Amino acid sequence: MTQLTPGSLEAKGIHLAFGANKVLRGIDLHVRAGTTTSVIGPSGSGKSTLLRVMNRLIEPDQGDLLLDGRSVLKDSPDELRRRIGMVFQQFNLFPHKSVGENVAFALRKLRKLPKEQAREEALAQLDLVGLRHKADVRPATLSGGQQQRVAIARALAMKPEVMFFDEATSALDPELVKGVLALMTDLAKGGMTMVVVTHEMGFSKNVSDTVTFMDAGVVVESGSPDQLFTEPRTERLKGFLSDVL
Amino acid sequence: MDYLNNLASTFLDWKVIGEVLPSLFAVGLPNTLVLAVSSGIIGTALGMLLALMGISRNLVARWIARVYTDVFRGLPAILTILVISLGFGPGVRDLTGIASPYPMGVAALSLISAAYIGEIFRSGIQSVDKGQLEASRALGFGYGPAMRLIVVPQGVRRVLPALVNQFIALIKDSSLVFTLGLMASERELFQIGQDEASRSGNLSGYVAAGIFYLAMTIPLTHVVNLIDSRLRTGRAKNRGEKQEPDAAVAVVGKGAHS
Repeated sequence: MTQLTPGSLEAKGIHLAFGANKVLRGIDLHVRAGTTTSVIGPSGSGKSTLLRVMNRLIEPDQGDLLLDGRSVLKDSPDELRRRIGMVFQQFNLFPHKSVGENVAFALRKLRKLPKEQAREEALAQLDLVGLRHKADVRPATLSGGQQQRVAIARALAMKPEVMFFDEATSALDPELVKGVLALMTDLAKGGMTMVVVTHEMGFSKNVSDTVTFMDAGVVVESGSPDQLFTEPRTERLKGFLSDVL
Repeated sequence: MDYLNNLASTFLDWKVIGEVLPSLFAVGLPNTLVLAVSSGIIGTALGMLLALMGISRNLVARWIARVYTDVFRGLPAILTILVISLGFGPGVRDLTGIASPYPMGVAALSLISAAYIGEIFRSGIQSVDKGQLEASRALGFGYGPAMRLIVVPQGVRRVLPALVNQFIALIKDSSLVFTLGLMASERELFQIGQDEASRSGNLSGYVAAGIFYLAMTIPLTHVVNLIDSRLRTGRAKNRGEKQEPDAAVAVVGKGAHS
């Protein structure tokens, strides 16, 4: 759907504690270029925190982070984040800017594109998510599903090598979830490298290449969707699946 | 009816008002405007600095902002004006050769308004959803640019009405520089009213000055209300934008004017 330059992402032995609260306890995660990994698990298991550590919105206490096989912990975190797109549960669009400007803003300020060109690219990106006609309105006039699609366009416009989705459909009304999931599926099939923290078991089962089950700050099980959903090996995953399915 | 007549002749003596109008216009108004506008601008810049210091991760910066705000917000304005002008004025005069107490008056008013404006900005900036900073940083903006380009502009919009309150207070507080003993050409509105009152033995000069204050403060309030409502709804041309049904519900629900 768009020109992609997917990269691989690897987290090695990630530890993170907030005071005495050990949130991540030795996480290993390897996402091959062009594949989609779903991260599932109960609330508070550290899934969203893991995403934030992997783009260094939160710095890990220990461990290493590799993008395209190269450690990025010593790089500027701002540079790293330009290579990783992130989509949030609450969309986090800029409410004071038009939809078009939401997408164009980082292109102008960070990629230093001239205004016209940034606008062109933003419109092209909005076209891909079916919202070009909304470019001149404020985000608040859009439905939640449309806002989330704008947020995806905003992240894609930076031409990231990896995309993170942090419960991207959890804040949406049920009838709006489908459109966003369809877009995410297109992206995954189009060869983007994606890490998807989600409660949408259908998506992790049908779209992802790898499913990782986290609980209490550790990866409990990881493997193909078939493996995890049909033959869970641990009691914890069995229990989780029986709760959510 | 004696009472009413008395009131009218004390405060609404048209002859006195007529006599004082020219100097209110020619001297008082420009001086009040210079005092209020210049200290408003300096106070706003300083206030923004204080606000950013107040929310910074640097403990020393936070501490300085806190103490500054507590002191300058807590003291009576007139005391600050006296201390700055009469306390520091002579030193500044020796240093710069400027004898007029006028700049010191501006400095004092700036310092006072910065304390209030800093708190206004701080509350506005802190009311912006944390997701805005996070989303900006996730795109690749550093902390400084993310604050400057995304968070602070949203915070400032939210507190525009409070900010205008502060400007109105500043216009009125500029009258306090009368304590500094200004030259005739440096007198602001209030002092001209006061001088007229002592000259004529009638209080109508104050009323005349009061009319000038209202002529500045009332339009200011309405202009900002207009700007405020425009910022909330988007540009005027978008106001007729039809909302999707579920978006309309969302607007009622949460973050409607964020």
